[in-house]
Amino acid sequence: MAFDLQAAVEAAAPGAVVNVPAGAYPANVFIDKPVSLIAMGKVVFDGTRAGTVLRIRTGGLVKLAGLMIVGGRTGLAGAGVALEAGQLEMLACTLRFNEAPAFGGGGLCVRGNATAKVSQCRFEGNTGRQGGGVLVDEGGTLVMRDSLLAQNAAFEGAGLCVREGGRAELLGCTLADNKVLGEAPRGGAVALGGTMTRAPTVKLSHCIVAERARGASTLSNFDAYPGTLVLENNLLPEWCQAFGGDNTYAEPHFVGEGNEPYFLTRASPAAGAARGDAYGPNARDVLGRPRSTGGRAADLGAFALA
Amino acid sequence: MVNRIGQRLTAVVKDRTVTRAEAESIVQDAKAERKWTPALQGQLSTFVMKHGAKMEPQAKAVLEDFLAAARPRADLRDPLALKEHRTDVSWTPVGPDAALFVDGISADDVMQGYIGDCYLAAGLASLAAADPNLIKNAITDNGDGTYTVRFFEGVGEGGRPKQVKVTVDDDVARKNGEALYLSGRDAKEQWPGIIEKAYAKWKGGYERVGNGGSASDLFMSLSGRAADWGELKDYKPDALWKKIKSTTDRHRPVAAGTFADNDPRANYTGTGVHGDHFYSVLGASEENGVKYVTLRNPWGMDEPSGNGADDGVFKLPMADFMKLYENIEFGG
Repeated sequence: MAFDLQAAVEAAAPGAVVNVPAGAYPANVFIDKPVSLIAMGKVVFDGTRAGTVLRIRTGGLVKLAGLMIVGGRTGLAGAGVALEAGQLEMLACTLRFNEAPAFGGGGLCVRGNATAKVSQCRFEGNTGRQGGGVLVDEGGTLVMRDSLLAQNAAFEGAGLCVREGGRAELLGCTLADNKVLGEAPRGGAVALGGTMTRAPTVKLSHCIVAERARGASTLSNFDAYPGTLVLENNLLPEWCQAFGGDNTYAEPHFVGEGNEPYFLTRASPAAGAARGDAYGPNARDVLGRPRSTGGRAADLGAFALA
Repeated sequence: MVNRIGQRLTAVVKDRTVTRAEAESIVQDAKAERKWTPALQGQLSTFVMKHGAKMEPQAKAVLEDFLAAARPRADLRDPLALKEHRTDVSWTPVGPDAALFVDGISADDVMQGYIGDCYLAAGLASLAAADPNLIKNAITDNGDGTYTVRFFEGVGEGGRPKQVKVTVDDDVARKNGEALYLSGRDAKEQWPGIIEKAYAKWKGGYERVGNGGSASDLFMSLSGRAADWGELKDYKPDALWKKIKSTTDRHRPVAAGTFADNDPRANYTGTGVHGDHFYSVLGASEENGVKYVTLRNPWGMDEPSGNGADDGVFKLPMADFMKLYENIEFGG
């Protein structure tokens, strides 16, 4: 009998682990209880452009591991995953080609005091009005590490958009080739936008930001109501030097071709540029490879130098 | 004194006695001011006190009569207009016969302008239909041409929502004399434009609110109560109809959004409904066994044909509603 994701979630007791057999499943699922969805092999949840793939509103913790989440499309916020309440831990998931044209958060939207911890994930080719890859809004919190945000598109914050008291902390991530469009585009990689009364906070540490479109708007902090943007030991485009601080401003020297174009070459200033124990013990990159081997210093960005 | 009135007063004082003709000329200039502000009122008042002895009695009376009748209006910094409007927008005072509310508050008051905030216009019309007192209580008239709108922040985020008060003046953004943003159907009615202006100021300008958004955010911001939202495909038609009816019967607002124009799931040709648009959901009814929802286009016109007056309000069979609309938002 074919696996029925919605039925499995509905039947699961709070706290249960649902092992999802390998396969591709149409999915527009509402998760209202703490459960874990674990891929047993290659698992694809396909929104079939008929709504959000996974909408999560729970008082507890939802864990997603090893899933590929594609084809979400919604007029609301969050086409791949919409986290509206509760906590989410997402490990080694790929969110690709999800669309939230009316609101934002093509790949993931975190809002309403929810918290998402994202590790070793890939957000690729997602689109949204704000936050093509990820939108953090209205008090939501995102903690992302060892992840890739690439080739996402939006009017504001193509890779990541953080608004209205949202908080985002990225460690060891690569933000590359995200693109802003429209009448007033801003934030090719990251956009912050506060209101009169509350400001967002974004911290990028040990990340690589590489956008092809030149311009200060790669990292964009809203003039009228700016947020707090903290940049620590990142590799940033040379045209972002106005942000100052403790960063390197140079070309990333990616491999630039093949299945993993954002692999580093040995010429990259990101190679071996991580400081001390920035990633903690036993850290892994987005592909699950050790962050450092043989006593070599770890690298900036999502990919450890091969 | 670098303004026009200041220059006139300075010129008059240099001369001898201020004549009635000169006083009348000053009053004419004062009336021609874009906005008679408290600062200008104070300037003229000081002039009369300081130089009254040098004036013909009739000249002094003319100026004093003007000062007694004048209603100074504060001039606050306006929110930044949409980027596409910034070169040709002019902020002009509302007309002298304007009123915050004209004949009460109703959904029909709301007319969306040349800005992509249909979610806000539809949401306001829904609120006006469901709970006009909520709108009335959200706006305070400060008596000087400014209004303070009370919003709530942090609704549905776990803690206690915080009140946010935003004060704006009643200047209207116009291009070639036509209002660019939200206005009343009766151009004299100010409340829709005042709320939109305060919302834009709070969020950082019209660009921030004029490129799509969420009606439920507006519901929460004005009511302080958590909202709910979802996609129509997640509902069975009867269950959704009942939810719409029970929500509107409880005087809570509802709004619904259509699919994007390029979405393969809907074709709006010949339907009279527009893609990529938000509508107020004003109620649910049943006639001859057919279930309907009543909707309103926030343009205040343009509805499917055969639905009576061209006021934007129309009834749609539930089956069509399920086909043509993508998402729905319920105020708490």
